[in-house]
Amino acid sequence: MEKSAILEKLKEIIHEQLGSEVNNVTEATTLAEDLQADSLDKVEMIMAAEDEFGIEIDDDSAMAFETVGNVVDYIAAKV
Amino acid sequence: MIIYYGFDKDKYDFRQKAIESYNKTNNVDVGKLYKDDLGKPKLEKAYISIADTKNLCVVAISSQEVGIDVEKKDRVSKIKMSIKQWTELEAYSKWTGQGVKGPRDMEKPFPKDDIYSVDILEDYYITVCSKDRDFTTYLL
Repeated sequence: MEKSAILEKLKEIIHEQLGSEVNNVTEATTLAEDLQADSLDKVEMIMAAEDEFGIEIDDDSAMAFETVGNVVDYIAAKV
Repeated sequence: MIIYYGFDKDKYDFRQKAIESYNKTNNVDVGKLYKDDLGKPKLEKAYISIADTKNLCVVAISSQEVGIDVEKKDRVSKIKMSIKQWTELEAYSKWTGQGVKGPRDMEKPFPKDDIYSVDILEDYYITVCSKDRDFTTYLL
């Protein structure tokens, strides 16, 4: 899948999970600082991404996600 | 253990205030706040755990290992456990230093022996994991 398509789907997930405006979300957007996502938000986003893309995101990789780009890259390698 | 809590928009500032207050109260210098390789907050001469939700900050400082978590009671979530159970898992994971990494961590059983609630705020769950059960709370 194209990274841009993955990013668009992730933006939908972020909008749904966090209720944030996602027009300005890019691969550089940080989860903790820019999106103010706490650990529960992160777990919910991972669950939603796993459902959306039909993959399992392993815990060690999930732990390392700091930016939206990190998540896009991980998913791109799997779908 | 002293559990500091307060509504502070600057959580980094709050942490420093908590440490300063602990030093003053106990006439010690617990040293600088740093993080280990796993990202667990550490002090040189005491144990510390930190949590925040919206503007509520909590910091627990103890002579024994500690993990603390806080969540608003009415938080809506899609996970299969209750918010209270989530704070128990988080408090335990912060105590071990591993943290909650992903959804699979919610399915692993964990010991509840040293997990307890601190009921000081009506709208929030504050959960602690520690062998140190002797705590005082302090509004900063």
